[in-house]
Amino acid sequence: MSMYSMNFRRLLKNILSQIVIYEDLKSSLKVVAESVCAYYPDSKIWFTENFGKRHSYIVGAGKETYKPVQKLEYANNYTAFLQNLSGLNSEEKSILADVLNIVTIIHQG
Amino acid sequence: MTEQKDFINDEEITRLLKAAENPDPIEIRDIFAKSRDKVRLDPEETAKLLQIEDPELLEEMFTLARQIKEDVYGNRIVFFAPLYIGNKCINNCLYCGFRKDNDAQVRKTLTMDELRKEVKALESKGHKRLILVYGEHPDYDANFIAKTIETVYNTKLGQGEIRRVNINAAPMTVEGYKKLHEAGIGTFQIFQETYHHETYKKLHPKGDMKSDYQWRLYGLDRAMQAGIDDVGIGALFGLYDWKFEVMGLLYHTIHLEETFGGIGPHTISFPRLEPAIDTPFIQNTKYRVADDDFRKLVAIIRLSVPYTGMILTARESPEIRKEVIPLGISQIDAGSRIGIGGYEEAEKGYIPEKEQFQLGDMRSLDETIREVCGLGCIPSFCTAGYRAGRTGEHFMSLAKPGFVQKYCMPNAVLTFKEYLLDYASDETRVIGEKAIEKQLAEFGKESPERRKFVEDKLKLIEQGKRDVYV
Repeated sequence: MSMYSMNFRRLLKNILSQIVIYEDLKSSLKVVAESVCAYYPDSKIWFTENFGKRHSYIVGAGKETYKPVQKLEYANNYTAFLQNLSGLNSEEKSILADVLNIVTIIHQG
Repeated sequence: MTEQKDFINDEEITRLLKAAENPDPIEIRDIFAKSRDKVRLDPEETAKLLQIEDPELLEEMFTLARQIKEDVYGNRIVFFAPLYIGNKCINNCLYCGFRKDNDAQVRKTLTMDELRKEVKALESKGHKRLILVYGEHPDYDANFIAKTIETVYNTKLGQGEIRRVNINAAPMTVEGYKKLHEAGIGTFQIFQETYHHETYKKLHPKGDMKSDYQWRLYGLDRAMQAGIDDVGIGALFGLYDWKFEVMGLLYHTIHLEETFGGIGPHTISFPRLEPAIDTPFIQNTKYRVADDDFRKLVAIIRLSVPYTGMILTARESPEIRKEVIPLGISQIDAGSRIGIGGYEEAEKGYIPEKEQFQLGDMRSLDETIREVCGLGCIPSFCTAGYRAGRTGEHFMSLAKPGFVQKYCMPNAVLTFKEYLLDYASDETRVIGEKAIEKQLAEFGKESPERRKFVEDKLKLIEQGKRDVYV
């Protein structure tokens, strides 16, 4: 049995089919954020570029619930903050991190 | 070269203030209702608030200002300290003790070793947030400022560390700001001093950098273009009519919000002119702001921009601070010294020959914290927001509807607990623990889960963990 849920696989397909269209990091990350929140209702995700202690907001989506936030450091100097995303297991989060890393590499420099 | 028009229209502001005289109380209460809904006011509305003289309406306004601040940020007061890095200056601002021609000033710039000593002195008192202040001088360029930011962040004393460094320095180019952004700056702050064009021109003689009103006015636009999405505005009250300056601050807010997708200033400051060595302008100005007017302007700024942080500094006396904090203030400094190297020399007391102006509140951080607890507030050393991506657009999306206190209050309790364990006097610890207990009861009223969530984090701090935040 796959360690990835059907919902997650659909999310991945949705994200991968869209991110190549956009030519800048912010737009691509916006697609990721909106897709995640569409597949996992009541969740919130936002992305930051990090400068020392400062995590500067890039873009995000979802509904604020004030629930604990998980940090996902998916690339050098980039972090995703996940809120109320308990629907994703650790393997799925790891794949999501890989996807985010690829998006960042594509748009860097 | 003819100057382009900018977003401060002096004639329009004067006309609005004139038209707003003798405001109708019904209209005023409609404006109060708009502020209560945390909607930023329009200039016509703020002008009307500025003309209120009716004591009953003023009392309503003061009460509302406190309520709005608590709705948005909760009953926490964030503490910080200013750290003056250098007082060299190429400008000749007539009201400033640091001006170039003031021979009474001893010019000094901290070396990196001296800076580390200052930071350790501040950390030993419990500070976690600093604003670094620089004169306007080629020595204080972006590279130098970035180096000082890095030095501050890297200087630790036991469990003490500075977790947020804000900057008050001369306006820069976009490229300069980018260097500060990369160094991990918190907020970049520029005070316009006065928004009144003619007064600005008189007070800032030609031939220096500061004489260019628009270079300064758009200084924070360039910071935003460079990626610094937390910026602070301010005016020095006492240079021109205080009502005009409040209108200027509002127009600046509107300009930033309209230009940068709703991101207005992170903070607004409203220092009053204070005496400074060999600076006769201050004694002669007719625009000094009386205490009653100062209370009004603080409350009016809170109502005009309900969701923006408001900073009250130790320029003011303890008595005024006690009265004004409840009128909408969200941040104060304490235990402050504004001489270059002043924290190391603090035990020796006041050193006027090196200061930009005179401080009104020389009390220690510990003493000020006790008083803030007595006002029913929770002292906070929170620096979580900018480390959790709650900056710029994201911060505004939480602050504008009044949701940011859901983070501010737990973080206030957690950072205050750290302070009580590591730095507080016995007297402050007793008062502080009671304040925390009271706040936990408030969390419990919202939901038992919220109280437990914070209590679990407090246990981590009691067990020795530091820098716990949500």
